[in-house]
Amino acid sequence: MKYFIYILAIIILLGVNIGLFGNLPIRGQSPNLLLLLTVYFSVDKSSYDFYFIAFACGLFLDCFSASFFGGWTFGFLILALALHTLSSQLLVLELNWKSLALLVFGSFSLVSFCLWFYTWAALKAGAPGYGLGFNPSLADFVPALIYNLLLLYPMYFIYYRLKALIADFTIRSRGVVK
Amino acid sequence: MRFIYTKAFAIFASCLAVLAILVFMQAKGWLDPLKLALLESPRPVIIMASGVTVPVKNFFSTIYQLRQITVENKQLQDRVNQLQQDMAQYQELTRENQDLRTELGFVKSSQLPLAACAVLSKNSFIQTDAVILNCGTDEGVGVGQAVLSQGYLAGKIISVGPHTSTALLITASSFSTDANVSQTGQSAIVMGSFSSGIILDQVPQTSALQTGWLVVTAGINPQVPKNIVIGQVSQILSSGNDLFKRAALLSPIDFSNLQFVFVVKQ
Repeated sequence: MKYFIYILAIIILLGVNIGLFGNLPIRGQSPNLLLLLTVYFSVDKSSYDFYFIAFACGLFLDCFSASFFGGWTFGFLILALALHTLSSQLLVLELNWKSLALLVFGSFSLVSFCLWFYTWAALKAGAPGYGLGFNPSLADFVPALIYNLLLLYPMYFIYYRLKALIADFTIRSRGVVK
Repeated sequence: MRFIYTKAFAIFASCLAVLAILVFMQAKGWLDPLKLALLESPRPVIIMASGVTVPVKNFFSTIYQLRQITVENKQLQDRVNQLQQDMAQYQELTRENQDLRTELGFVKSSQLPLAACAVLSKNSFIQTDAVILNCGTDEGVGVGQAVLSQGYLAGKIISVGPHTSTALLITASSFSTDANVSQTGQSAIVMGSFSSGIILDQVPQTSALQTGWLVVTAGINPQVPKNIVIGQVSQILSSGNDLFKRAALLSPIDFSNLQFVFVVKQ
């Protein structure tokens, strides 16, 4: 049932991303709320739900984007693995405004690179379509990054409420009375 | 413990495998129902969010662009005024074109050497029922030459300069020229009458004359060629007691609105 709640949350966030922020672009760019959600879940060491979040978010973005199918999912999975490894094995991450901003910057760069690489590899493998040029991608990078950073804390609040909802639901489903 | 043996990597590898299967299905075209479902699922939220965002965005962007809208409005108003002037000119050109087409129809069928002239002004100084043309001696125009419009006699040249000339219209009371009744060949005189009419005079009482008959130039004056139509008998003015028969002639030329004429060059 919690996976159903995850899917519902992803659908609502995607709808808000396209319907609300899609009409308020900065230099033609809108934020990626699903990326922010994946980042927050990936640094959470308590469970492996972040893989499901990453896979589902990537799948939705693949359907809504014009790039080769699988690029966003691939990028999100790589990001999830990298962040989880970073948070659990290499660093003791304490989430504050500095680490969050750095995380989002690194994550955004990684996903952008993975997307470009996936498209390049697909074209090399003979798949029909067009590739993402590097120069246009760089031109879009900074406005999109700034927009994502602006929504850092609002999205963190949504992540926190979603986690609380899942935790509450999990406790109730186990029959534990508070 | 090696990283590849960890649960995290195992789940990652499984996800990659599932992704590979999905990419294969997408290549085969089997993934369309799922894609459609994923595309349609956020649509209610998108519609709700757009319904709130778009009007607010339009409101603020309208306020922001208010100054620009005012400037644009003034430019558009100026453009409308200009277009109205252009429209008036266009209508004038259309009329002119129609006149030219009518004249051209006559020119194509005529064997006479003609000089095409535009009417510069009507009712010139002192002389009424006279027009000034933009043709002169440089174009081969001379005094006494016939002026035609739509194939009918419109007047004759009474004075000429290097680039302009004055033509006396056939409706002028001082105008007269020799004529023939085309049906009988009877010679007569055509004169202008009080700036509006054309009179056929000096037709013998013994000669037949009926309404509808055509009157043409007789060619006695060497500068006015023969058989140029002057008009059609519209009304018999004289009675049996008069010395000569007189009739009013009807010409299709609108003398008050002449734009283009042809001068028959010698």
